[in-house]
Amino acid sequence: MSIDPRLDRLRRAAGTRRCLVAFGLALPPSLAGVVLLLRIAGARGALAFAVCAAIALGIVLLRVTRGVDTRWLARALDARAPAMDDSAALLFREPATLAPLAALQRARLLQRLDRLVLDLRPAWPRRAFAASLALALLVSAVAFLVPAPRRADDSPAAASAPGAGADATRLTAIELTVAPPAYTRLPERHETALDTKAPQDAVLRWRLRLAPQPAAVALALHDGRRVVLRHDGDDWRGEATLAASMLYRIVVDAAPPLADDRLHRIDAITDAAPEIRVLAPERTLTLAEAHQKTWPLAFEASDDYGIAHAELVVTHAQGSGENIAFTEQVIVLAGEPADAAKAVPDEARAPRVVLRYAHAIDLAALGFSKGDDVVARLVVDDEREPNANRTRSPSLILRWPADPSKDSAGLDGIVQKTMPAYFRSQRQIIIDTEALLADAAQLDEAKFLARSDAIGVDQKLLRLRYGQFLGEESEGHAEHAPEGAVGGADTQAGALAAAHEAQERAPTGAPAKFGDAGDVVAEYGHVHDIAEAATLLDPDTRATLKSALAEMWQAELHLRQGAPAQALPYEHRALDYIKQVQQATRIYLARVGLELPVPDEARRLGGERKDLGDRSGSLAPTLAGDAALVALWQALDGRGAADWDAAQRALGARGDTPDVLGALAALDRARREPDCVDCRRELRAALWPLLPPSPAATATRALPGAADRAYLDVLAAPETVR
Amino acid sequence: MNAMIAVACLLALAALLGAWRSARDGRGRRGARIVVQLLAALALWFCLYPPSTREAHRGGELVVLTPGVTAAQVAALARGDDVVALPGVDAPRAIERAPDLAGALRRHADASRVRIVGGGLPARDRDAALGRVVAFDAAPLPRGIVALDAPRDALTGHALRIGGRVEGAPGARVELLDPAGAIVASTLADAQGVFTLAAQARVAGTLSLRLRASEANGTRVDEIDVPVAVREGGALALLVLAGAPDAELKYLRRWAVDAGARLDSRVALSDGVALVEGGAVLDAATLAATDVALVDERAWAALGAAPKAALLHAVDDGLGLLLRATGPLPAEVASDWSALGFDVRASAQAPAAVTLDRVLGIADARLAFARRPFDVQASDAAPLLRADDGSLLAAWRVRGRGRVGLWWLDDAFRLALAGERARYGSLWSDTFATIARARAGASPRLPADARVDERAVFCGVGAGAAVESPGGRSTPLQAVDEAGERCAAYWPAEAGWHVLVDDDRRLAWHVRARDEAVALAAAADREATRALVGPRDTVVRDARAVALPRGPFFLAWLALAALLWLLERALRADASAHAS
Repeated sequence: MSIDPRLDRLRRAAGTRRCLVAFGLALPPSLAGVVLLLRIAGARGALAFAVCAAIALGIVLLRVTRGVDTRWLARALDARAPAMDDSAALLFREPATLAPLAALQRARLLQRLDRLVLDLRPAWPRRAFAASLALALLVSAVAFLVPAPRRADDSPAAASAPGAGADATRLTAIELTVAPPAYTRLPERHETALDTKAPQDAVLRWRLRLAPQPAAVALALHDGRRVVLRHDGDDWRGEATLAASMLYRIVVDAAPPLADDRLHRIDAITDAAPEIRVLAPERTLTLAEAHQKTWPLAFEASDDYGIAHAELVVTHAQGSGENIAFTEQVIVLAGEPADAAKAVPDEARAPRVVLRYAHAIDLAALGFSKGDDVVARLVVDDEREPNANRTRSPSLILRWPADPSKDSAGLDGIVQKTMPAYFRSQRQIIIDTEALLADAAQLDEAKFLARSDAIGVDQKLLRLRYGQFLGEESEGHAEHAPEGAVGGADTQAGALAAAHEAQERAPTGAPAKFGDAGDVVAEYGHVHDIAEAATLLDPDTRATLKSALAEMWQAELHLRQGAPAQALPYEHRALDYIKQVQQATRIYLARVGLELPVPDEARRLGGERKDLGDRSGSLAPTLAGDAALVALWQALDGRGAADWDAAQRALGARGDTPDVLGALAALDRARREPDCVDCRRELRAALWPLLPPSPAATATRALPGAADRAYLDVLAAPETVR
Repeated sequence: MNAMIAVACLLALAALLGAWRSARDGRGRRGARIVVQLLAALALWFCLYPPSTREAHRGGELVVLTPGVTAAQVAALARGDDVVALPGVDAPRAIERAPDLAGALRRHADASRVRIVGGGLPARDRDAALGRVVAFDAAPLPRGIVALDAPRDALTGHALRIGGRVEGAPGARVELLDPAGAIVASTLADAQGVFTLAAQARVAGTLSLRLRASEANGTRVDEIDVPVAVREGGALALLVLAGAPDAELKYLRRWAVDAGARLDSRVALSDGVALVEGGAVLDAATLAATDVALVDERAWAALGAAPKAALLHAVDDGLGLLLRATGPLPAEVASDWSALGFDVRASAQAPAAVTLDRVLGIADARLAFARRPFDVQASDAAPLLRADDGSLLAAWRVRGRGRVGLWWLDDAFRLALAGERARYGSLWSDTFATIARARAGASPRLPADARVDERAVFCGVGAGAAVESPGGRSTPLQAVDEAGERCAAYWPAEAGWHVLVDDDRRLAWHVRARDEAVALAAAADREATRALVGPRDTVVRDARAVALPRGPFFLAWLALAALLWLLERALRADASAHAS
């Protein structure tokens, strides 16, 4: 159905007016709300509110527009224009559907419409507008009165700017330039924070801009030093060399104190000494092989910045005994970069430098010969200036293999032969005998006898060696035994035998001093065993060993006579006995406990005690730890006043403990912000590791009450007659 | 009753009238209709006045659901029980709610017995339940640290033994963190979840350790505070008489001097030659100023009759005397000590190696100590130190106002040698604290495990006592006399370290936050409730009449009425069909 254009114009004008009114009413409070939220909830909250408000307004406007429809129009016409005869609704109906009378009325209304002057727009609601504005003003006033909360995600600079107010100096620009020492080859870097980490000996350059402009600015270091900044245009500049980790504070003159005057911390990254890894040889002591021409050495050295210099120090020790000559030579080595840097690069650090060094020492050129030692050592310097860090590798020794016979005292690395070696020999004799019996068919008699005799000699040597344990005298010399087969005199028994022989053959012609009667035994007699060796064998073991020796005698007898088949059973029995001895040689020592002998009261205190007196007052209490730190810990506990200066001095004196700087920073913060509970807790946490251990204190029990005392007295009183 | 009779008559009349009319109208299915009408009348009657049935019921017993009750426990409740639910219980709406147990007992005036189901009664309700609880059906404990055996206060320098149990995580890793957040001790809980850790109280003040339990894969099970108030000790006057120097004396004297004790010692080196500290004169005045005397058997044998008498007289007056057996006792010493109450006989056994790991809370040091081979008979003596295997190493008994102890552990100094100086000092300090003269003033008793919004009780406080909260607010305590002691209560509103100010003393005590150590609180409630369970008196199992629900009868009446309507309608349709 089409509406008459005149009516439609009226309707649209009214709709627009109503929309404008609604919009005008809603806008000021919405804007004020956005401002309020911007203040208390930040940009995100304000944006969310704005979006919600816009959606709500849109819905309201839509409803307002919908409300202005034909029904509304008909009612409005009826209400405003009496000429409409309360039948304006007819205007909006199809003429065709109307009854004839209604159609007639409709036509009349259409005619009257021309003459009608109507304004259906609602009047501007002045009072409502005023109320809306007042509400908006109220909300805005609240927004500006509410203090802006500090937000955690704000950067310190941003937080200090609005929050500080007019009575504090603000840092408007920070630039901290870290120029690492040249040898580190690290680039200069610029930071916008006052805390950082930097390589040791780096030059730190500050460029600060402050508002309002102070008269002078300095950096106060935790150890009392000051770095005065100079004025350069709007900026304050200053520089310092980072010798060790430090804490500092910006101090201003003739200006309000800094808004954020925390202690700032710069950690020095020390240049570590190079590390050396020996790749070849695998062990520090290498025995030279026969006909060895060269001695290859390989090292890997790594350092955090770079290796300046590496040299191989080769020491050649010649000679033996007291006559040893040393020659030392230094070979400068050039390294090759190793394939990969192992350490994960840190932002403030360059990747680790890893170099490999290889060198082969020419033994012939060195003159390496029998009995010599060559000691090689790599010395590596890093590039630190002015004093390089130096690392030495472990000493690598190339040794000419020791002569297995001879002198046992001089060489350390040779293991003493132990008992099991002998037992193997008896078994070897049995094996040899059996082999001889097997070969008997192929051998002529003389050869057979010779071999049997040789085995007999071996058997004799073995018997003699066991005999030494029993204190038997050795008889004669190892006839035609080869020197090496004896096993040398490097055993205890051998040494004993040698000493014994030497003593027996010692010239007795030395003039005996008169009265030296005690030496008669030493002169004419000799000991057959040494006490320690003999006491190791208990009587049973000795008996078993004696039986073994008897069997060996018999075996030797038959071997010497060329009858190895008869010797074999004796040999076996000797082996059995030796086995028993072997099992008996496990020695158990009684555990020595605290069982002291009961003092003999009769003999006790019978000595001369003249000039002896009491000794008194030898105990002095150990020094307690830092009382100032303990006092601070206890003061932090309650709400008492702390002696900050004393604690600070005590902390300053503890230069060797791990995180003194952290504790100092925490102390400073807690001192400056007395109401900050977290600061106190942080300081306590930092102090705890520095607190001295104290000895366990003592206490007594509480005094008993009157009833308890009476009870005890009754208990103690002598029992009365029942 | 009259209404019931009237209704019954009316119903019977209506039913009979209906039946009579049905019998007389001459239409089909007469019998069925009569029967259904009578049944409908019966159903209506039962709907109005439901019949009662007898059910098992424990008369005079109230079942109380406490916080932490599980759904299974609620489902397992018998139908005939009177059940109330305390606040904080997640139970069906049908169960009656009660604001507290006392209120519930007033409502159920006949209930003389209470059966508790769930996590246990909160502290508020325990007094009301006293003497009434006959059974406690406990809910399973929550996962976490459910037992904590840690000292609430300690003296400076003492070793702290912190034990406990982790529920629901056998073999959990338990770590102890110091105030700086560093791990100071760590162990694995055993299959039951039991663990023991050790730390040291360094200096006086409050010490907040944290105990963290985590599973093997690192997931956190529980983390709770372990608050320890570390206090300064007092000076002890110690007199040492020894027949010869030994290792024990070396470390003991060193500890005593460092700990600030007044040490008088006389260690004989020879006849008339001794190593002397302080006075070490055995006269009445000196002994009266001495708290504890340590005498070994050789020094005892060398004591004259007069000094011995002076010593024993001083013990009667309160001096503590600790006899140390360092070797076989001479006969006269044995008889003297027997007169003091310790009948010592050399036993045939060799010196036994004993361990003190569990007693001292050492994790796995496996230090072996030697116990003198003595057979000590002391009928009225109390144990002073026991080895892990339960064998006695020291004992004490009362003599006059003082105490006499006997010590026959040979080598406690091994602790000091093994780097356990704190434990060594603690061992001797605790020993002397038991034996020494009573000198300290009475100290107020502080609440055991205070929690925010739970009543904390102080006993033995003075008149002007007050509590300072962590926020700095001071609240004076209103003390009342309770069994000869002045007690006061306080409801903490803040968590953290509070201070009880009593005269010139300031005693720190800790209040846990409400949501901290939840498992521990649950276990404490459970234990406290379990302690309330009294003897199970004769369980009265009677029956009572309970009305059946009306619903089924109403439905039955509705169904019968509908059936009647259908029957009548069908008959009417038939009739109209016949009529047309």
